[in-house]
Amino acid sequence: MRMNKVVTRRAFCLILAAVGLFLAACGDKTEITDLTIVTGLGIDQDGKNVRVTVQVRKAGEGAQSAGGTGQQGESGSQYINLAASGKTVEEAVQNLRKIIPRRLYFAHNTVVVFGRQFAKNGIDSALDFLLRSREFRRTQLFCVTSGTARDVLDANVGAEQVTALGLQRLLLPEDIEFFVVKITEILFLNELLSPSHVPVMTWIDVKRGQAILQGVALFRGDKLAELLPTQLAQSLFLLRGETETYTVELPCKQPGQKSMFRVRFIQRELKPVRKGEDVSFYVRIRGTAEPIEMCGGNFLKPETIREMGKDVNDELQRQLRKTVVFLQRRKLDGAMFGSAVYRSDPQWWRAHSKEWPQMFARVSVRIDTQVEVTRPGMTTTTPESNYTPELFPPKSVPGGNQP
Amino acid sequence: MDSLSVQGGIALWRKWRSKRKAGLQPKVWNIPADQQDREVSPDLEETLSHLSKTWERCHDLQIRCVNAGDNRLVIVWLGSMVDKQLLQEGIVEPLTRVDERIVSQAQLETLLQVGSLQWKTRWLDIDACLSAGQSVVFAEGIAGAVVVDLVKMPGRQVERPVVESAVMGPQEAFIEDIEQNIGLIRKRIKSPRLKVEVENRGTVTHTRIALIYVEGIIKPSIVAELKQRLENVKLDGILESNYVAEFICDAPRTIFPTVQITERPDVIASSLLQGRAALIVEGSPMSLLVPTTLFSFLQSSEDYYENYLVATFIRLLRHILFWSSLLLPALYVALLSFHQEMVPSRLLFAIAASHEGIPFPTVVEVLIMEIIFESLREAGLRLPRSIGQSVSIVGALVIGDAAVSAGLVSPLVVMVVSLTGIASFSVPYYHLGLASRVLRFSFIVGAGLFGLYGIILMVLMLLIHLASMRSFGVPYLAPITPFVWSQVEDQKDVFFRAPFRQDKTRPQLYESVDKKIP
Repeated sequence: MRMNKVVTRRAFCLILAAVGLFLAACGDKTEITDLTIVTGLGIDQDGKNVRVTVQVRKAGEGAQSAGGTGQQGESGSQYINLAASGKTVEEAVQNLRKIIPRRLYFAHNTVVVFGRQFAKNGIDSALDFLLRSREFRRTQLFCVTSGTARDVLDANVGAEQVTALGLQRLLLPEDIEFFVVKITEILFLNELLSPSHVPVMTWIDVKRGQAILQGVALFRGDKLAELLPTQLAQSLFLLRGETETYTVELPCKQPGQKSMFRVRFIQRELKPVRKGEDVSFYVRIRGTAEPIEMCGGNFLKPETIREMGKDVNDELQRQLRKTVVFLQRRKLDGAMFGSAVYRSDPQWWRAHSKEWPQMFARVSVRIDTQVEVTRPGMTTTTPESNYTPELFPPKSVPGGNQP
Repeated sequence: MDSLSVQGGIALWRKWRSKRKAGLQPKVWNIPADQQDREVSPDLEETLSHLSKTWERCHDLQIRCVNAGDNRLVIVWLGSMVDKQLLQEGIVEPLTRVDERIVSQAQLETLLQVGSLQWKTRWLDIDACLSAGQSVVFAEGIAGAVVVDLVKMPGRQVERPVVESAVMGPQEAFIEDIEQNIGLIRKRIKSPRLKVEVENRGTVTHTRIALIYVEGIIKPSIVAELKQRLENVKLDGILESNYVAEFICDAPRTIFPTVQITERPDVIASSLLQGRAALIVEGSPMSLLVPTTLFSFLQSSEDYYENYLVATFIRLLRHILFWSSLLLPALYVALLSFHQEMVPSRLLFAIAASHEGIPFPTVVEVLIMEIIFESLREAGLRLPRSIGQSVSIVGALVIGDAAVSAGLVSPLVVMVVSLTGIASFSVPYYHLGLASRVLRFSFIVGAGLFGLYGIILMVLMLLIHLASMRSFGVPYLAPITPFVWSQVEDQKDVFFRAPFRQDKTRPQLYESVDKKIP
């Protein structure tokens, strides 16, 4: 009988607990249809205010629209940009909430675009907002534009339907032969807090309604300092050791022609060399180059190849030197030399960190490049130059084109 | 709720319980034939009067009186269960030709040209034998009867397995006839060490239950325990093996099967060699296997009939499918109504687009689809085979297209539910599939209430429940929990299937007497 009592009481408690579960009644459940999913975010200066643009999906009419297609910026578009201004980023977002009936949901934001003016004034307040919110991912991509972020979010990106998702594709270097390096929020923050204190961000502009990769933006702390075009940006990433390919262009003897080489499998080493209180840098670069475009009538003879290797080497060194001079002149340690010193000698760094920007402008940098031209690609010369009316063997073959 | 009202509630509940108990009276059967037990009298008249009284209104009882020479003989049998030709050749013909006077039991027995016969002197035994289909011969002046086994039960032949069909391996399944079923096992284990103990259970049906094990392999206490539990089977009728299974299982209140039910004699044979015991119940093509573990329900007999590497892959897949049949819809609900940030961005955009305009929350949507799916499954099972096909066509249309285009559910839900269905069909043992079918709904509700947190909570509760169960002393999650290092060899047949070359020991979780495989 006693056993029965215990069992009864236990059963009663279990029932109570089970009923208690239902009291939660789907407490913080949020349906997908109650969300406005933000795919892209743009932050601009708007006079004294900050303007925040969000790219969101238009609420469809029903299940039928599921497979529907739409072109950005046209009447059939599925996505729309909404903007609101406020004194701060957070206030602008608050104002956005006043015009958007569903909950703004930032967890799937893919890209943040900063307008030039806002970036020049410093993006610290925006970073505060992005970092404080629970929803934003640390992997969202950062980019800056010389115009307004609004224009970038309005632009077309290739054949992509959604600008923000297209930008994400554009900013992620899928193509190994492309120089762009992915800059996410977390990477930007790492660089912002690194000894060099010169973070970089991808630079995107709009030309004729089309978003276009322009190069890279250098920040001094949280403020936009300089915009580097493609060629310089490429060299910068090579100096930072973040890219494995580099494209070298050489002029040809024929006017209006050029040959192009792609340096691949690049190994880069950056060594700070200390002499007393002074520091200099040694950059060592090794790689193999492959012609992707040749001057007309140029055949791959051993001498030509050797000569081409020397030319590529010289051009590469010239470009790198140009970049270093560019950086030194602006006292912007975008190549992360400061971080290299800090890693090798933190004590020295702590003693000299205050005067580092001035020091950086004066440090000597030795650039040692050694690039060999190896593979010719799938063909050694153009088909037309191989042709002889007598149909002799091609000239590129040893003993070819001889009667 | 304050404590006072809780106590009041408990008191009310107790009152109701005690009232309900008082209403329940034990059933008493007052059937004279089952109660009186008398000796057979040498007087044939008395015998005939007993027969006509006990077997009153039994149309199929045949009584044949033979007057041969100076003898008066009576042959009794049930017309519906006897091989008439054998009866004619073995009993009627020799008895009609007899000319000397039969005075003793031995004389009568030598006359009958049959394989097996027994001598019975008590009416209770004789009536039981008669009802089991055996023929009985009485002779004037002899206090007793010869019982001859000429049973020919109506029934089907051995057929292909239906529930546990397999591509490779033997294609025989048990049938309703217990003799044939035992034969199917004997055919596989040709040894006197294979013991078959038959008991009668069921006060009216007198159903035979065969307890089968291999002596020298099985742990003796399992047999003793099984016999003791069979004592407790107190029913008037046993029509299927599950009647017995519910009495002998360790945890009667769980949804998980603690007795393995199979229709394949090869499964029984291999299990007997592992040190397990089998029960075959007359009239049921499903036999029982004890002890059992959760993992034995995920081992298909086919695993052992194909390449061990392939079998290992398929077995791993099956484990994944079993858990996904439990958790997939719940995970979908949790992700879509609580953790949208965990869905890959592009997928979420697609889901959001397809979800627009659907009036129900995700959990209701999934429940609707699951209920539709389960109803179709049930309808397809119960309907005659010819109509069942049309139901499945209608079902495919309803599930696949109409529900989506009507804006009732989103296409992804249809996919999740059908994936879950496929996953649940891959569980080789039907009873475990049933358990996951039912539990799935509570997981969906849990996910709808608490999201992933709810799922984790329920999985933990499920694991605790599973780990707390035992089947004839063997932990239900053995050999994973408890994990015994000295018995690490058992792991080779859980997620993997080791090649037979490496099978040097029997599974140690069944504690077999003879551990080494010679």
